[in-house]
Amino acid sequence: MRLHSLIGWPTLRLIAASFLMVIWGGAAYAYDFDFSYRQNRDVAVSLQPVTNAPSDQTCPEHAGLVQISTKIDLAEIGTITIEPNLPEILRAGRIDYGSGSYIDQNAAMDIEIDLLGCVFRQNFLPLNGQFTISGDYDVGRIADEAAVFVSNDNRRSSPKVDYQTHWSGLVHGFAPGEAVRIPGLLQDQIMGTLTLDLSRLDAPLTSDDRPVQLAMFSRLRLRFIVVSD
Amino acid sequence: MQTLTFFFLSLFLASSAHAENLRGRFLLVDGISIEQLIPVATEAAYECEAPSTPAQIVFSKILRPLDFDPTPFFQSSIRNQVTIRRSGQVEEGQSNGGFQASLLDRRPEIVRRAEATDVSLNMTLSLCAYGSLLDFVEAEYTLAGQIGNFRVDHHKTVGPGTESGLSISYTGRNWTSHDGGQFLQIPLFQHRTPNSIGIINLRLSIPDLPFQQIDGDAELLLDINTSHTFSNMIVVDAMDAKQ
Repeated sequence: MRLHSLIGWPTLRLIAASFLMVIWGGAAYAYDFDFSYRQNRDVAVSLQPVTNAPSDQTCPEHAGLVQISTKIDLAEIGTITIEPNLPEILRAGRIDYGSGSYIDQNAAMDIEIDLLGCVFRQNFLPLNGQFTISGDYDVGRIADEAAVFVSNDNRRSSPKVDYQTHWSGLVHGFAPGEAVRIPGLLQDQIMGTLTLDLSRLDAPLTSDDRPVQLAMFSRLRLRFIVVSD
Repeated sequence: MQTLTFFFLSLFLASSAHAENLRGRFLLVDGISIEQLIPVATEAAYECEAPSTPAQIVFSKILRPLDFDPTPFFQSSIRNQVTIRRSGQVEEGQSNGGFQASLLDRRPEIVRRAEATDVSLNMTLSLCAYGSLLDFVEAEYTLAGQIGNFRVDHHKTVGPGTESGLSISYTGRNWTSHDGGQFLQIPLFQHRTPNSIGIINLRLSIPDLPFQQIDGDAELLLDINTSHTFSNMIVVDAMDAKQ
């Protein structure tokens, strides 16, 4: 005897759908919080000459080895939005962080940039580097989560670094139709812009009263104004 | 009487467009094209510091209107000036006390837009090139053409300053090594041509660009906003460029 003749097609479909829901729910639960960062202010970074260059780092002829080594307060120049990543059925019962996305006003967050590259006049070639994220959020702490960048790495999940040389005209800021305004910086000093895309980075969240949870940065794009030292 | 008043009002609105500044945008039509980086002879008007040598990018694009009504550009100074008396009597050729009537194009908007413009942007970017590493010297451009009965011929030379309405940025994708070979090729995410040496992003905005009436002395102002990305840049040598 066949199964569908015993319990009927509608019931079978319901069972199949339930299985799919369980599988989908399990996949979506791979991380606990979705972090989304939005920058809204400009910040400058400077290219510094490297004095004691590592022997394995060379630049093309006529180009010089330089580094960007700095720590930037991300909470100061943007906002972080947190959304609990829960299946709908569990989300209804969660009231401690709210059931939807919210901006974490009290978040502390910074990034340490260590980037090595070559410079030829206004052109800059990022070679390799490391970006380290630390943060203190309502839902826990992220301690020194590092993302490693290598220039010819083409994988989707790896950090993307993009440099644009500025040739002419005004560099536009985050406010629509407005030029970049950074105290003490003239537009003429701008060499270019550096974009870092660390989206898809995940990091463990630790807290005193809860087991370790996982945060996923669905959006973590940063743009810096590059000036020469 | 009522009909006459309404008629007068509608004509007044039509002719008032003549006086106000016309706002609109131009969209640069982006066809698939390969922009050529042409090394220029040493007798070029400018010199480059070694190891760079002079190189130019020459391009030409047709501009199309994006969201403006070209109707006012069809105004003509040759008008029949008529005065209509309340009695219904029409007197021709008298300007005082009468009103001006202009011919309005009643064809569909899209047809008028297509026929309305014949404006092109020609630009030469003068650069210093060391492989794919480019330094900007200056940009020279001409925006010329006609919309209806109005003509524009705008010419400008722009240096690396911040004052102009021309914003240009560049990303070199191909660095050369000590021995002249390829040092590193950075992945190009939006590339169309695998051997493209880099990407140029260009944005031109000119507020209130005056268009002069061909058969009169009226002037219409138009905002020009256009942007273009060159992602298919290849290097050609001087021999190929001449052909």
